[in-house]
Amino acid sequence: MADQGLRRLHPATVLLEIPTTILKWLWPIVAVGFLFGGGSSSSNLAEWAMLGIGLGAVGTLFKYFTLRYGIQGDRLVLRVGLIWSVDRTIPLAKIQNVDLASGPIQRLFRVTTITIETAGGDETEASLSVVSETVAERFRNDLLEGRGDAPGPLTRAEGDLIRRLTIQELLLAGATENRVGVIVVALFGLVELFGEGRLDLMTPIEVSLERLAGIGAWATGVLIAGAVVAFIGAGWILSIFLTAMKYHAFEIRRSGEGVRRRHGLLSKYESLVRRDRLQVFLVEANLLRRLIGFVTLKVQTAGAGDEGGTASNVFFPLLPRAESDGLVRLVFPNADFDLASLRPVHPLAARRIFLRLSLLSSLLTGAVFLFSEDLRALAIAPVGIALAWILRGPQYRALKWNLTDAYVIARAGLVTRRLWIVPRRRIQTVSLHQTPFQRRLGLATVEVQTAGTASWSNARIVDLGENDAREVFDTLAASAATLGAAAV
Amino acid sequence: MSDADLLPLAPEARKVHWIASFIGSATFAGIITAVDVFWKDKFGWWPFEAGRVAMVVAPLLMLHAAIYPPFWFRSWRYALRENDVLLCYGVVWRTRRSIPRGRIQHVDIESGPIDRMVGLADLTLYTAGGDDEENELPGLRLEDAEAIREELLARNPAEEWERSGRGPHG
Repeated sequence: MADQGLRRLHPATVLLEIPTTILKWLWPIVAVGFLFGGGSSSSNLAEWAMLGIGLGAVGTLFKYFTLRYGIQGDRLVLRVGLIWSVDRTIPLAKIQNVDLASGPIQRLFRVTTITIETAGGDETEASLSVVSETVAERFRNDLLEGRGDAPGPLTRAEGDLIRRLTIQELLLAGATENRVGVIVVALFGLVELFGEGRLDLMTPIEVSLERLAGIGAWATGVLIAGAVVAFIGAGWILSIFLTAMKYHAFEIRRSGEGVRRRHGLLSKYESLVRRDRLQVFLVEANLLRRLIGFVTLKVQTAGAGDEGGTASNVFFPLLPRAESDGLVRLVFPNADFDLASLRPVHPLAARRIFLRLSLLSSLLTGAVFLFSEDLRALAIAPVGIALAWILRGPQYRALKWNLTDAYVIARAGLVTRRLWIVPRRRIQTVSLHQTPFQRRLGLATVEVQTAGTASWSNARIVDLGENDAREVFDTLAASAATLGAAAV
Repeated sequence: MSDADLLPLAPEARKVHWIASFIGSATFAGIITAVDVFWKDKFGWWPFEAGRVAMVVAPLLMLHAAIYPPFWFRSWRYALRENDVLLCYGVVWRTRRSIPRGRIQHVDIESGPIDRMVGLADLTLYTAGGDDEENELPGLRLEDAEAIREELLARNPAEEWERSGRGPHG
């Protein structure tokens, strides 16, 4: 096939991509050199490093001189390589997402990376790095228009601003992000690393402190606790900082066919959430955010992977709960549901929650007792069962659902509360699940799956009465095919 | 459609599943016994004497392999309906799953060595996104699996939309 009409990458590719490629090649090669090249001799390692740098540079040059891309008819064509050549053809109709992302150095050169995704798989189908910003914008429009199903021409003009993340919200988003858990896990890892549950790193400090101040073991304990708190606090501040970098100047704008997201301080992200590709919409709030009355909005479009570093899931990082309804209406203009009046699940769900939590705490008690052979472990069970009794009410009230002509709504979660909105015409499969407890109580769970691939993509209506569940299942199963046919 | 109209798996599937789970359980029990007897000392926190855990777990695994397959076989039912494929399965955790015909992207037929000896095959239905191993219909006669595949692919609304350029989930 001729290379007519195909483009090359921007010349800056050579400059910008060589360091990245070298980094990608360097570590494995240095590691191999370390393993097989006679160990730690530094000149030896330097030779291997030079080899890595050389290979990286040659690889980048090869890519720059051989890569050609462009639109031929109704297809995106991508060719690369001389010896091992890849010739990829993607029908424009299959393209789900076209995203632009640029790092700080790329922005200096006014170039950007284009990533193109289709519905199949979690991987990016094509990644063009780097392309000049103007070419990238034009190419994206060509790709989206070439699909032929774009309602009206896509204009370069900025859409109306819908909402911008305020500074307070940005900081709050960082402060309430659930990274503290990660830090605690890291801390445990640190403790494990320095001997059997003992921070040996601390021992010399302890000894010198005790000598210095003549303080006792109790005060040392306080000091260690203080260090741990300081460690977590530092992690927390780092978490706020990272979130602030990522979601800096987060804004969503109206676009002809959906909503355009833009955010980032050093690395800028821009992407389009196409209304006709939207699979599932999620209103989520962890315990901290619920306490202060804020929620996070997430979205899955077909083909977008779980995270991929681009925060492609996040529709809006943080906003007051009261405002979320307005944004839901904006995403679903012909919504026939009311989030304020959802239906409760079967009252027996509360009993199942109690039974389940009680069983869990009993199993935990058994395991702890077996391993510790300490009679005090048996005290866990009554405490657990009492907690289960207290929590069964709130957890039952968290379970809500609704089924309208066009949507399935499900809500669940006592700690992290999630509300799923799934357009019925996006449903891929429908399942009805029953655990042994559910069978005994006459309950069932309905699960709907879409083409979304995030871990939270599947919406579950937990603990409906058996007959209701069966009715919902049959309704969805009967309508999925016909609704799908009428889609777009 | 009432549940009485649902189809069972091929009768040979019971035997095949029994053999397969026996082999699986025996292997797993062997590994556990080996670890428990020979490498137990590596875990300082393990409170039981060598071989004790294997003495309990290995017989349980073999018992499971002996008892479970008939229940597994009886739990399985399926149907090709007007608009969807219905799968019902699960001994302890029961699932009833509907896969609309229009959502099926492609179909796999697989058969392992034991399957082939008795002429059985597994049919996997792929949709966009999600866990495809959950859309598996095991233990069909090969000719039945092929007939089902032909029927699903011959009259697949998804292809009709794709030809009209709108895509299966567009």
